[in-house]
Amino acid sequence: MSMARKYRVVVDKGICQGHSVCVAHAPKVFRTVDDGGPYPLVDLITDRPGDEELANVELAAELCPNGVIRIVYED
Amino acid sequence: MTPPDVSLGETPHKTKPIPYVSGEKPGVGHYEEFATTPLEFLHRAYEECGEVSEFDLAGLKTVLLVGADAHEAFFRAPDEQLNAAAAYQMMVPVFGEGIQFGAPSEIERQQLRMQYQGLKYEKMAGYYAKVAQEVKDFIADWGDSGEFDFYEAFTDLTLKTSTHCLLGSDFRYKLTSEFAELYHDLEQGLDAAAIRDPNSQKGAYKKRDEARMRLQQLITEAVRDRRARDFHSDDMLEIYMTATYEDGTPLTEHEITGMVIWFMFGGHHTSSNTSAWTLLEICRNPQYLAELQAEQDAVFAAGKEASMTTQRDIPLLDGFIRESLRVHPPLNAITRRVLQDFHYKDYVIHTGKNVMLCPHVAHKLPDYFPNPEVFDPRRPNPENVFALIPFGGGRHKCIGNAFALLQVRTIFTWLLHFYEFELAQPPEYYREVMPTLILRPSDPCRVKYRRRKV
Repeated sequence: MSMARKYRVVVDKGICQGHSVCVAHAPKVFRTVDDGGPYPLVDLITDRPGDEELANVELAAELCPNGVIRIVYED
Repeated sequence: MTPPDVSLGETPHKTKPIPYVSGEKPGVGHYEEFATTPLEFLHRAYEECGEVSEFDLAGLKTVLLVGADAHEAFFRAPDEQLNAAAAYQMMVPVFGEGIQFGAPSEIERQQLRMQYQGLKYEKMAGYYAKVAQEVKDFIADWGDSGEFDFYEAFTDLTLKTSTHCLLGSDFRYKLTSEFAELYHDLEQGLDAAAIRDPNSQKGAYKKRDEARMRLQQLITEAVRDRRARDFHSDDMLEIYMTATYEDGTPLTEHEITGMVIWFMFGGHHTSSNTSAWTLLEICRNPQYLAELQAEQDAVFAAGKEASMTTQRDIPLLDGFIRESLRVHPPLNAITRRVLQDFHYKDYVIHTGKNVMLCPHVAHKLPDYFPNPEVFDPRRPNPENVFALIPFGGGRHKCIGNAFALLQVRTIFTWLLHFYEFELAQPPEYYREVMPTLILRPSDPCRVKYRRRKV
């Protein structure tokens, strides 16, 4: 299986409320960080995950209640 | 701190005057029209003036912003500039002094952290079964066919589902009609007049305050009962009873009551109205019925009727709910108080004014929603996340939005699996009305049902 990096992940922390749906579906890509605000915020473990994570990241982006996650395809 | 929305190279000569809505009356401005027909008024403001318009609510100068760009600027502005607490003081007598916007922002932040505990993703999975159980009980005595008032029914059902999930089974099964009436009295205290003066002594506000006091008695009894029995449960009441502020202080009984009311208030009528509109649109659009039923039947066939479903499992039902939220958004005056001059494009909105967004107006913009008057459950979400704002946006977005969708989805998966629905009156009889600050269908909300052969 090719490991070519064909996409990157962008998150908009300004509209995140820590629902953590992304962490449930793609825990190798997303985590949340508690910075003392009202809720924890999403943080990217990597913005260029491998091909094997693409389906998980797409699901996370689709199910995020706040529309925080964007996938930029580079191919 | 310099708020990011204040442009540094400010050039005052370039600012344009904000278009002013016609028809103001001496002394009260546009207040009477806003108070009696708020949606019609806000649509008129947009049609007359465009994306930025100003009007006068009996002395409270208010600027309506419409469109995704304006929404984004609004939601990204820091609290020091566009302040929610100052604009929502009408909630303080409902939730109680010292709660949410009745508390300093530092306390509100800590209270929000407590509320968040019940809405974490890992908590959600446990809520499906409780909602499913409530719907099952709800239809248990329906029989083969009949007619019902769906507005009242969903008010009752969502009070039970949200209480069951958030406050626990013990609290839920003590729920009486009194509790629902008290919530109703609280809600009646939220009208256009409350935006101006929530502390005036008119009749509804007296009832609101009495209801708040009685709710405190009921909730305090439940708290003391749990403490006496050393009873612990995985729900919000437990979180409130054990939570402490960062300095170690626990919540008082007054604060626990306020947290319960805040939490329930945020989710109850918004979810019940969304359910009511969803049912109405399902009945109005029978061309989708067979597919909707097949979708829910598949959920049952897979044994997922009381467990987590996503929009991938039920795309058409999800589309009905989202489209109902677009066409009939429950809350239509999202407001902030300007604490530091707010610049948007060529306009400057001065300190002291209110800024308002209206989802009902914004959700009908053809640039984002082609043929906006058509109810289309397959309509894709707009690319721009700030175009569709039924739950608000930014830091103060409704944190219960995922829970709300969970409830409504589960309710309809069950209802559509077992029953078919049909309007009891011509479709045009069901109009949009907004007697308090929540949009609802007009009375009588009658629908017929018939058991399916499954």
